[in-house]
Amino acid sequence: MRALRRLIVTAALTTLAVVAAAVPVIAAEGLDDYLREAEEAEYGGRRIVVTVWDGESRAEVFTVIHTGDTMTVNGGESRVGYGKLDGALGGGVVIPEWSSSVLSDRYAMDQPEAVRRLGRDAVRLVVREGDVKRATIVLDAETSAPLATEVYDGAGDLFRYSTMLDFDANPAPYLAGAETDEEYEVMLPSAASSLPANASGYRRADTYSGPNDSVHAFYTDGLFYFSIFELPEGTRLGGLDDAVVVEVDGNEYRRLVAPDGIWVYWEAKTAYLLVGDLPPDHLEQVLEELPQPKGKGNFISRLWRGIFG
Amino acid sequence: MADLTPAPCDIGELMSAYLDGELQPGELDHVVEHLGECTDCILEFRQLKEARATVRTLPRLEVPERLLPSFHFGPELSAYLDGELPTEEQTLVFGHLQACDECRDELHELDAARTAIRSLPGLEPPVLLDVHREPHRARWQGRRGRVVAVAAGAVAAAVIAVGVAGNSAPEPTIDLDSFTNQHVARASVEAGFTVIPAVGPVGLEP
Repeated sequence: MRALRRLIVTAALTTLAVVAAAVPVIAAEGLDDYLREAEEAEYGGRRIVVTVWDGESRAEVFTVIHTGDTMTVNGGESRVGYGKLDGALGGGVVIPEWSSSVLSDRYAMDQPEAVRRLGRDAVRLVVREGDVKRATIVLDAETSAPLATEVYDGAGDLFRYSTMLDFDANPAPYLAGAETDEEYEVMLPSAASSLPANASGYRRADTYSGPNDSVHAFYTDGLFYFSIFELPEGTRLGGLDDAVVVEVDGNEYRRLVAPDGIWVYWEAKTAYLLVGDLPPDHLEQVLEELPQPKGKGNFISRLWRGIFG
Repeated sequence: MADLTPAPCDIGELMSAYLDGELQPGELDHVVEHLGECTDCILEFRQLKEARATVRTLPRLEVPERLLPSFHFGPELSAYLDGELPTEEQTLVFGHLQACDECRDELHELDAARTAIRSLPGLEPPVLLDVHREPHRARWQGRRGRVVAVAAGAVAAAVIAVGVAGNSAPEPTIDLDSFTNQHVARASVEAGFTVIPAVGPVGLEP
């Protein structure tokens, strides 16, 4: 019996070891917990980000160092975190006040799954929005770093993919040459915005004064986010020469896509610029709830909808 | 009348300890006494003893760490896919993959990711924001002759325009980066999995 007891004890210990391996190390319960842990992760490495939008792809490899809440990209070309950005070439920006965001209840998370990635223990999170799989996030179990992410559009098609190409839980080797010394432009909160408080599930969290007397409204649903700048009349925006013209709900917009974000410009009563990382179907829904572009075609389509619904 | 009911077989857990020499004096007497009268326990005792002897005669194997169940290949899997491993290591990884579901799954994921990236349509180099500068220059060079040709007319028109418009200020041109920087700064305080918070335009500056 003693032998049997030993066997049972051994089996129990083995079971515990297996269970311990299956349970993620990350101390998180809900999706928002996991996202917060990811935000505070410490790691370094190279990451490829690929975006496919309307059949066209954009890709870029970034060297990233994530220490606490700060991310340094490409050895100091830009450093972002805690409300400020050091752009080695684009200047420094700091925002002194912000309101905390809340994860939208339209998202639900499947039971986290223990997986391995890059030879490391990891946790795979599948985020759903209704019946649609919206995102898959693989977090490193030790550091909570996002090792790989997939974001899907409303049809369930992958539109943005990222994965670490190499990874180090110790960011020190990547820190060399990452120091920058910037002067900061402080963006002050503003109460003036003619934009809606909510747009297709996104909440207008904060409003600031923006460049060239523009008004900056920041929207978030806790998972994705974007900014809309209301530009003063007569503002000419540089950098949009190669934006493609796209049509949403009969209205025309100018759009630029990068691996890590999107820019949309349109003119209504005033001009607007949207910057963000939201999925294509969310973008369309958001644009439909914002001031509509002016133009003959738009007027006719509005008239048509007004008469015939 | 003598009690013919055999003593209860309560020495099972003691037999292993007996073979290990771990019994207390009272326990030893009890085991010896019981083994003298219980054929079932004698049989079990012999089987246990034989099993132990067999185990002792087995050769002691030095198992390479890589063959232990707890070991998993990481970076080697990528090199394995690329065929960059030395022959010996290639064989070792192949052998490990036959027995390790986790490494096999990871290899499949890695392979699928590579296939997905390769199959993307028209993968373009990340020159998005350069694009708006280079065409600027190209267009400017292409139009230089035309610009010179119409320069005189433009000057004349400007003179007329100044006369008509009086003190009207030129329209300001604001670069996209200014807005992107502000968005990125605000976005940086958001919790989330955003892998690179729309720093493309900044990062792509020459």
